[in-house]
Amino acid sequence: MSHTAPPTGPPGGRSLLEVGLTVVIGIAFAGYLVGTRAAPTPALTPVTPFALAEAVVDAPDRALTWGELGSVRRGPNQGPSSDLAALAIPRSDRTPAPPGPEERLAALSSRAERRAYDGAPPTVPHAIDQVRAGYCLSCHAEGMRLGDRVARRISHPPYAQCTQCHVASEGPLRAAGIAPPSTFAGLRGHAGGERAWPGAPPTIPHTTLMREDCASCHGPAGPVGLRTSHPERGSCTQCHAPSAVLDQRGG
Amino acid sequence: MSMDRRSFIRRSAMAAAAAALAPGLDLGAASAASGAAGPAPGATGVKWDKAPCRFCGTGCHVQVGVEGGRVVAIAGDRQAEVNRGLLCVKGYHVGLALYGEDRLTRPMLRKNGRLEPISWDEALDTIAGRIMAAPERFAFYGSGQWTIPEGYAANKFMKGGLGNNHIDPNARLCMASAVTGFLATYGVDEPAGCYDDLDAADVVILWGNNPAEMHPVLFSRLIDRRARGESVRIIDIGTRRTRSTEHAQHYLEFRPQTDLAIANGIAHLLVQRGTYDADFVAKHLAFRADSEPATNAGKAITFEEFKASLAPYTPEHVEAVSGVKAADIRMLADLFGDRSLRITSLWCMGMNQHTRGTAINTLVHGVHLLSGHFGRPGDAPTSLTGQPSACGTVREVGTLAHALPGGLVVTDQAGRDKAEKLWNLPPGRIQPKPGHHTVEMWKRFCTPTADGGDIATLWVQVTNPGQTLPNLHALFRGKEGLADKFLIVSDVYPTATTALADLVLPSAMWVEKNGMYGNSERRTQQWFKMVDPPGEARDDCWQTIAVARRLHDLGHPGMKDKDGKFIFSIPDATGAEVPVWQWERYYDVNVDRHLFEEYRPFTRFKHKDLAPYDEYVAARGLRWPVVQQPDGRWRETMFRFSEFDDGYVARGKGIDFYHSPTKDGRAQVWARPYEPPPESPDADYPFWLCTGRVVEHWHSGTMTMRIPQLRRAMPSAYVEMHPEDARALGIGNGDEVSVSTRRGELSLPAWIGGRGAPPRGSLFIPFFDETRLVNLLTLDAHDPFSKQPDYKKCAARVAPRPRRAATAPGRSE
Repeated sequence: MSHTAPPTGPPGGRSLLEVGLTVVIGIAFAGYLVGTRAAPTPALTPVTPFALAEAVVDAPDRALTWGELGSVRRGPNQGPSSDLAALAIPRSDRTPAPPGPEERLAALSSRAERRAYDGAPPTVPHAIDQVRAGYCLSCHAEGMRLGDRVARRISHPPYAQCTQCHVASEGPLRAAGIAPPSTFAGLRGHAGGERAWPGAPPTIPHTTLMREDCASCHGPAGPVGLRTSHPERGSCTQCHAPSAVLDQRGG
Repeated sequence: MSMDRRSFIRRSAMAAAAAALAPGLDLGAASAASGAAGPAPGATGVKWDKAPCRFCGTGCHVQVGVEGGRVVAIAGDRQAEVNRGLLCVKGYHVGLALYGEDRLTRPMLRKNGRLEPISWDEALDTIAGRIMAAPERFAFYGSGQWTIPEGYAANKFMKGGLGNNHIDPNARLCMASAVTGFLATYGVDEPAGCYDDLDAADVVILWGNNPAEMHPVLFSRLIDRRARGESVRIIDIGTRRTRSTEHAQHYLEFRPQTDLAIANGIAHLLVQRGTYDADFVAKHLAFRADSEPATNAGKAITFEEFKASLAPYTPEHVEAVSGVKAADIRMLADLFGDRSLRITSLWCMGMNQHTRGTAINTLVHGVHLLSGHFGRPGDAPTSLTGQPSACGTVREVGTLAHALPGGLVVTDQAGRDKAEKLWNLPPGRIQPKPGHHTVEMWKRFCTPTADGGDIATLWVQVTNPGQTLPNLHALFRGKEGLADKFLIVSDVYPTATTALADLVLPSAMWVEKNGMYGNSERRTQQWFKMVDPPGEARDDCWQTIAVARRLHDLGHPGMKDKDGKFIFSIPDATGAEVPVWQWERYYDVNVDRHLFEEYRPFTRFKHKDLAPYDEYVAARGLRWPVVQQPDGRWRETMFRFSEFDDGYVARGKGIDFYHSPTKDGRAQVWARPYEPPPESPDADYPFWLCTGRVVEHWHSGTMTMRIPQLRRAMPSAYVEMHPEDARALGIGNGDEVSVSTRRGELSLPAWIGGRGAPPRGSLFIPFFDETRLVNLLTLDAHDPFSKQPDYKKCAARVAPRPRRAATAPGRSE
């Protein structure tokens, strides 16, 4: 995500970039003000780990009647439509641009929604097969994208028991599904890696344990705010150094 | 230039974004103000330290991230041999267990039916007063979640101080049959093998065991071998399909209780075909059968008599009894008959919570020994424990009604002498008669004094018997209305037990105190206090010592050793006594270290040697016996009784059962016939009812039901049943149904095609949900040797309840 090379776009790219920069500066300044106010009104509601997920499938647990089958969509793929135009991946996504701060914020915030703390295994935002844990890999082994639904590629070696660590965000028996009040405040996302000098490749600001596949989050299918600007380079740790402390090496 | 500008802009935007994202966290805030780069990794003010996980008996190590005096993150500990950085969903969320909003923070005494806050002084005076009034009618009910020093202090307080053996732990409900099985077979408790067997085994047999949910990290360690191209054959012998079944090549479904017939069927074929290990039998084994009256020592029989006892167990007969196909019994016998394979057996509650629990434990050891599948890496009969220190605190420290630390027993004069000597007590202080075991203790407590209920005051620490005892109507709720009975509960949250408590003491938990645990593979682990407990919550160990001191001050003679010194006299570095019974002085010294070092000499009696405290500070646990080498280093033992690894095996012997019950180095193989269960389905109660656990919750859910991620994933107990049974009864998925047994009735939703798949005629209900207490239904019949109740089978019926109109069943309003 470092930008040590000058832009190589078409001649018009330069002025476009300037416009973009102005916008970025404006947002950064606004963000700065927000960040320094005594009682900030955060751009986003602060994420607590126990805020209930809103995306509850409004379909009964019971088997559907024949009549209901045509009208009620349910299960993990209830979201995507079969409209081919909507399913196409927009070309612009294939030309990575450096993520803006608001995109990054959105990405970190959406990550935090499903994690008790930075580093916790995320809960699963869709119904799961209760028995055959390995079925997760049919989508998550290589990762896939269907319309606006993204099945993130597994970021660590394919352990065979996904449900050992990843449980459903919402359980199968909702009658008593009330989140208990908790005062836990989990560690939140980091501001980014450390740079030895402006322009140096940033270090990896998080553990690489269970996050061995950088492309899972930073690749072209990752959240916009976390995407690398140079997906063509496959050897991430060539330039981005992991932290011995965070990775529990030598300590 | 523009590069610098751009990166400056991006950095400040990023910092601003971080500040907006995380108000109240210091991370990023300083850099936002200064405009400098984000904080360096690892320099965010989070301090990391090791601790074993608070939950099951696997004994994973976690790294606990602490910031601002609070736990803020958890990571798997990469240096831990048990888990190598991996955890399960409970482990990853263990830090949240501290922060439920309803933590108990003040002592509370029941006055006019209500629990009202009192001072610690009043609480301690109340307890000491009641004990002083009738020391022999006091009982202590503890836990496999007690730390080693906590259990040691409680055991010494009771047996060495009060001269009262009425101390027993919840582990009685959990692994007592494993203990009697090990004792009857090897003469000494705990597995010979360890988790490394899982890395070497060719075949792993799950005996009524679902490690995919109950010991997920161990199960991953096993099945992840396949991802590395290794082959491991898993055989699931069970009464219901589970997540573990999905990874097994063979699923052998048996009728409850008939595991005894299956094990005998394997032994029958080994003997009949001559595929048992004749050399191993000749050198290392002797044979035993039940005596009259039955004792855990039994009587010696010959190999010929043993063979004769197996005669009825032909594969066809076993099929008729158990429902497992004769061909599958032959397949098991083929595997055990092949010495080139390495076979590991795993079991947990399925074999232990069994009215013939000791019998099936000895039979599985017997099949391994008879076939010589013992003593090589990968060849091991290994029981797993459900609590983090069932081994360390209960089995090793001996917090059982008949036991003393280090494998000594109260019925043995020599054992009492050794304990009195180490504790510097006058001879005769320790009583020779075992105290009440768990079921008996609670029965006596719930029986009016005039009718023989000889326990009047009961102190519960670190456990929730109001939810976990079987047949709760009889064994727990009977206390209600008995005015002279007094229940004291030390816990961290309100529970089904505190609901009936007369005195509630708020406890510190896990990393709010120093501690030591001992896991399933003989691994002793240590951690330091990292955060303060909330409010007035205090360590359980301190509570015990403080009560002992009150009794000392009231003049109870047992609180002094034979030189007149307080039995918990703890000196500082200069030798001066520290008044640790005063809370504000408790952490002036490391009480854990002192108690552990006092306990350590006990561990030599049965070759369960523990290393000095500081060795555990440096390690991620060590497996006993930990023996000092000539060069001064402390060496752990992975494979007991095997010459290649166990230093206590005489050179040249190969295998040596050096605590053999027959004192001749031989392990005992038992003849144990199949016997029917005490209660089976009949016309009135046509279903089998089995209880158990789920991956999201740990035991009674006191901690995990307060962790939002876990509670949301699994919010409620349910009853699993076969779809055809449901159809026959008109029950739909999610319908509220009524399940009843001869002991009680319970309403809960049906889950069909859910997590597990019970066969026709059988039900499964998890026990984590305090709002749906399945133990109102369970049976209190127990194993004759281990006194462990059977939670896995009783007769039940199920009926649909009237549906609510216009609302989909099982859904929130």
